[in-house]
Amino acid sequence: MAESGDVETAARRLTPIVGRTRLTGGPRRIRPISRRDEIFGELRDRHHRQTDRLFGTLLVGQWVFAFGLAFAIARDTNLPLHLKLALVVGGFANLAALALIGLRPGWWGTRQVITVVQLLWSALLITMTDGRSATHLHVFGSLAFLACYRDWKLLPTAITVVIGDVVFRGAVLPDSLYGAANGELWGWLERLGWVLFEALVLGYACIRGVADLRAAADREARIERVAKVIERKVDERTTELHENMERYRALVETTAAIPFELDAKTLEVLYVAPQLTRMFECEAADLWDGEPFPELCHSDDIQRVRDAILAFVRGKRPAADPLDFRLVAKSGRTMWVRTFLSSCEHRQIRGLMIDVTRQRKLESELHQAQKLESVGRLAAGVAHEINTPVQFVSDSVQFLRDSVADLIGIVHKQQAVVTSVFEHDATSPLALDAMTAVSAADLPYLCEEMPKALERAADGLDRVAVIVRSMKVFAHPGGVSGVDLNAAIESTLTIARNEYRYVADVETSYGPLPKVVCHAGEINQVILNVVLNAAHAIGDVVHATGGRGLITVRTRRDDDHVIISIGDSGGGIPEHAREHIFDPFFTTKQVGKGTGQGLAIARAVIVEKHRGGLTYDTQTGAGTTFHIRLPIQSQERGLTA
Amino acid sequence: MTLKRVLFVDDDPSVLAGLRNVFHRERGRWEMVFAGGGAQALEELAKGSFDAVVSDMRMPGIDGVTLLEHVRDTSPRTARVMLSGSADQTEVDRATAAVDELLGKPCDTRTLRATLERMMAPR
Repeated sequence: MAESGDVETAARRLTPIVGRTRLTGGPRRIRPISRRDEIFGELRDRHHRQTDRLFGTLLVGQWVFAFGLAFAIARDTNLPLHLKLALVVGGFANLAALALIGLRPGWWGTRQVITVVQLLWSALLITMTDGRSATHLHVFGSLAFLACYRDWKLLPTAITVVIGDVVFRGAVLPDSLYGAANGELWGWLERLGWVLFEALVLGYACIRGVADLRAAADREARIERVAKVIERKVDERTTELHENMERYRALVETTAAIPFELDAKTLEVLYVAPQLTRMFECEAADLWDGEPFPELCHSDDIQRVRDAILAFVRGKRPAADPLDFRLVAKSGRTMWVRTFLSSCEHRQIRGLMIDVTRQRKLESELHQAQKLESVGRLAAGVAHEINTPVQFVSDSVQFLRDSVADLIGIVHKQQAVVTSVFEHDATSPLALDAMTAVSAADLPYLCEEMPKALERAADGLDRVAVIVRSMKVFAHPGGVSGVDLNAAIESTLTIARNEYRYVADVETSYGPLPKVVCHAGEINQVILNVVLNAAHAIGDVVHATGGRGLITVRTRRDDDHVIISIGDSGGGIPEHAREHIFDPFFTTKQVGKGTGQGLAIARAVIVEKHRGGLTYDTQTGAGTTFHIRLPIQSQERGLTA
Repeated sequence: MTLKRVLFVDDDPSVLAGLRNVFHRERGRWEMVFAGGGAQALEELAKGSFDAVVSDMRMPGIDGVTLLEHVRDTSPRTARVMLSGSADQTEVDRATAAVDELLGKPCDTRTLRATLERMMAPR
């Protein structure tokens, strides 16, 4: 009975079965019908309907038979009465029964009518055969057939009809009942006795049959109940399983740690939890496309990651060792992840990844700040060390410049003396010696070049002094103070000169600026980064042509802000890189040339630390200009606070 | 005895003037040519052959590495010396392949003279 998998059936089964309303016996109440009774009712009803249909066929058959019989008998003797009886009585009785079979199959009244009609047929056939004793057996056949209903209530009706028939016809038309009116006195009683006996036997059979039906219903109900229990258990288990799966899925797919699985042999990605693509804000295909896992890493990290994973597979690397590297999406977006490889079995490596980009960024910033701090201290120390020798070298050069001028005057005068002596006496050994020495030393060259050399030495010393001073200003190890930004920019340009002087000229236009209270060392670092980027952008363009580009640096005051604009005549920022230029570790420069940190740090310093702004205009093929906007007022307030 | 021909290349005129001064004493043994850039050096190289070329590394236009690579390809017997103030490792690596000797700036005159003497000595 249990149709597994049929959801509708299951749902129907789960709805509580409410029985009919009973009006008798006290207040109205609803009596639940047991499933057993329901099944029993269904089985019996089905049985009744089937039997109804069977009787339908039987009744029609009997009618046809009656017609045939009537014609057969009519040929021997003229008995039109029989024909009429067969046609009319049989026909009407049949019509009533067949109508009920068609309209109300299974109804109790239907089978009662059928019972009456069937036994009328017995009577009819007996009448038609003039009470042939063999035809009387039709009554037994009819009773047996009626027993198919397994409804003992039909038997009293049947017997009533038989008795009625016997009594009625025995009195009125005994011929039609017993053939010749032989007047067997107790014949009718004997027949009735047999009929009653059969009815009793059949009644018993009916009751037994119903009991069997009830037992079958009981079994079926029991099976159904068990099936329902099993089904409910299966449902519960399935729900539990789904809940567990949901929980594990949530654990795997929503936490910050990203589990993944690799093929131990090919290192291909078998599974990565979807947080990774969410983190990169991209489709899985933008991240990996069937290539081995290490190839998703930054080109500097590929070999290291591959070696580490292979060492892990060979058992030469402890599972607890964290492995840090950069993952790169096809868009260029880069993230630092820390990976813990945890197991390697059945040729699968499993592990966890954690996004440590922010941490690396902070570490890197801290590192940069510390570096800047130490570079500042170092520069201050080095500057002092350099300045001391520069001082005495510069004094000495000044002394030599003055002395050489005097000396050359003296040498010229003495040379005149030597020449006149030589002209007077060409054999004078002293004069000859002097002339040879003058020639060997190339005296005119010396007189010409010595002052120039000292001039250059003085120039060079000035350059050294400027560079040292710039270094001190640039590195500025101190904290927040009032800064002359124009001077700071000039120093930074001096420091960076070596980076741009081969590819670009610098054009500066300094507007009058008030002192801006800021962290000079960090601002200088930002200006340096932007200038270096400008130099590199120009370098990329002029590398092929051999020409020179232009870096423009402008400062101006804008109400309570100062604006520093640094422009280059490079190739502009490529479209695809624009949204990432402030991302940490993002770089379009070739390996080893950039860390991808410059602009990220610039942003952190200008926007986050100094509450300023860092924007850019860029035009492909024409160049890029960065605008650094720093507040004057708020910083002053920040200082006094 | 024929004079050894040496070509000095640097984009900074002061550096070039300094070299001219310190090696003025060698004028009896060396014939020295001074070029203020890569392009000018190529012109000089086209005019005549040299026994040694001393070049700065970073120069606008044609840089020292390119220049010395050209020398290596066109005149393999010419000694190639690079003077460089750069600490950039990738540039140093690139230069190493193109030169016989790489000297850091500032370079002691005696070191440079000794290097040139050794390299131009008949083998």
